[in-house]
Amino acid sequence: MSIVIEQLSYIYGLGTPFAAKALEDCSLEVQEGEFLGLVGHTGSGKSTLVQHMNGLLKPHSGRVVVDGQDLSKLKALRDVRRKVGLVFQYPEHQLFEETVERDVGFGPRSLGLTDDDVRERVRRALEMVGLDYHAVASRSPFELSGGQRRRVAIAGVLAMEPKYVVLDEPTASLDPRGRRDMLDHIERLHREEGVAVVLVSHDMNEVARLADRVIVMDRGRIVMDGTPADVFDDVDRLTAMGLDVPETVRLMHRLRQSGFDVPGGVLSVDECASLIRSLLAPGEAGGDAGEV
Amino acid sequence: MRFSEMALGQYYPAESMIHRLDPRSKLLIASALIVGIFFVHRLEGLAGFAAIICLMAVLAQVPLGYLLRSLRPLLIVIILTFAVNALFTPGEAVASVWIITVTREGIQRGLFMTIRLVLLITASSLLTLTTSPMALTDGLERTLSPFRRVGVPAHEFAMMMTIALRFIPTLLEEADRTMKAQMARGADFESGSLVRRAKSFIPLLVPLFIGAFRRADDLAVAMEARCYRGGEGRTRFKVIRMGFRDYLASAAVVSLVVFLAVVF
Repeated sequence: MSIVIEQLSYIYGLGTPFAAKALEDCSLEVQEGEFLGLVGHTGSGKSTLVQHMNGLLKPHSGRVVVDGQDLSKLKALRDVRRKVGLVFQYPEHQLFEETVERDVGFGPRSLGLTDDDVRERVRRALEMVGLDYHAVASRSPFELSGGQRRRVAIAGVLAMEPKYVVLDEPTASLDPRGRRDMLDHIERLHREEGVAVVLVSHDMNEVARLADRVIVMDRGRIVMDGTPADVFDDVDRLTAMGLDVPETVRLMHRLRQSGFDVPGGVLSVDECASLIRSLLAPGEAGGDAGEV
Repeated sequence: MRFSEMALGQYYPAESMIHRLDPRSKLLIASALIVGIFFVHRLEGLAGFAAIICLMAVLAQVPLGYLLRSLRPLLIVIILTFAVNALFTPGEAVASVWIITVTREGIQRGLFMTIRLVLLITASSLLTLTTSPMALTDGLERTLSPFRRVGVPAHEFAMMMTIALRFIPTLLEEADRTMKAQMARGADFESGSLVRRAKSFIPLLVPLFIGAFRRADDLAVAMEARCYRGGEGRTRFKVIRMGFRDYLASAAVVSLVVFLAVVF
C-alpha cells in the first residue's frame, strides 16, 4: 500500500494569459510508514505536488493512486482525504471554532462518530502534538500562542487518524525551540504511530536528520530521489539549484576540497565529530592528512 | 469551484493603444458608452454599440472569448432578465402552457434587455481589462479632485478603492487555500441541504474574516511606518497626462455615442 504518482503534470491558470506550468512529468511513490523529505526552492512545485496527494488538485495529465485507488476514478474523495492528512503552510490560519476541543473535533465530527469517540480522538490528537487536553480543550484557539495554535491546527488533521501525513513547512516562522518541539512530535508520530510522513521543508538539517528518503524538486520537476546520504553528496548540484546542504555535509565537503580523505554519506553531527577526531589524531588515522 | 479563475474586472496585460490611453479618457469613454446604451431604444442602436465595443476589444488585443468570460458570473441575472421579460410582457401570444404565456413582444423585449445587459457588462469589463487597477484609481482620483473643494474626499476614496482592488486576488487566493485546508480535514462544501451547505461555509468565512482584519492591521502599521498621512502634498512617480490621442479617442467615441443615442 502506498501513494503512487505517475507522470503528473499540472498547469496553473490553464486557458488564461497567466498560464504557468507548475508540475511536469513527476513520478514518485510514498511507501507506507516511510519518512520522506521533500525539498526545493520557493516556486519549485512542492506545494502543488502535495495537494495532488489527497485529490485537492486534479492532474492535467498523469495519475495519482492512493492504496490502489485511482483518484480520478473516485466519486467521493472523503476516504482519501481521511487517509492522507494534509497540513498546509501556516495551518493556524484555518482555526475557526470557539474552543480548541471543537476545532480539533471538526474532522472527526464530519465522519459521523459518537461524541465519546470524537472526544477520545481529540484527546489523542492533542497529546500527539504535545498539548495537555485538560489545559487547552475548553480555551479559545485564538488566545493561545502562535506555536500552540499551529499545534492545535495540526492536531485537527491528526484527529482524522490518517495513514499518511503531509506537512507543508510545519516549522516556518517558529522560534528555534518551537521548531525543535514540532520536529520532535513529528518524529514521534512517525516512530510510535507508524504514520508515513512527507515533510516539505527548506531546512536541510531537518531533512537530513529525519528523512529516510529525500526528493528534490526544481522548476516543477523531480530532479533527485534517494537516501539523504546520496542526495546530499551532490553538493555542487544542490548549490547550483539554489539550495542549501546540511551543515555537516558542507563541512565534510570543505574538508574533502582541502585534501582530506573523507568518505561520503556522513550526515549526523556525531559521525562528523568522530571522523574529525580520527583525522586530527596523528598516526592513528594514517594516510596523507595534507597541511592543516 | 475555483475562486482564482474568476475573471470579472481582471487586468489583461497587453501593449495596445487602448491600454496606453489615459485612464481618465477611458473612464469617460466607458461612462459615455454606459449612458448611451441606456438612451437607445432600438435594436439597430444596440448593434452600433456592439460594433464599437468589438472594435475596441480588437484594438485592445483582448481575445473576444476572454471578454465574454466576464459574463459568466452574471449568467443567472442575464437569463432571469430574459425570462421575466419574455413571460410578463403583455401582447400577442406565441406559445402558452397552463398559465404561462410567452408573447412575441415579450421575446423581443427580453432579447433587447439581454443584449443591453451584455453590452453594459462588456463595456465596463473592457475598461477594467485594459486599465490596471492602479491606473484606474489614479484616474478616478484625478477626475474627482476638482470636487475636493465641495467636500468630496477624492484621495481617500481612491485609496480605499486601490486597497480593495489590491486585496481581491489576495482574498480569493486565501479563500481557495482555506477551502482546501478545511476540505483536507473533512469539510464538505458541495453536498447536503441548503441550510447544511450554508452552515458548511462557516469554517471558510471565519478564517477569512480574521485574515482580512489581520491584513488590514498589518497594512495600517506598514503605511504609517512609511509616513502615510493622506493625500496632502503627495507627489507621484508616474504622472498621467492627457495627450492628443486621448482627446481624439474620447471625442470620437463620445460623438458616436451621441449620434447613436439621438438617431435610435
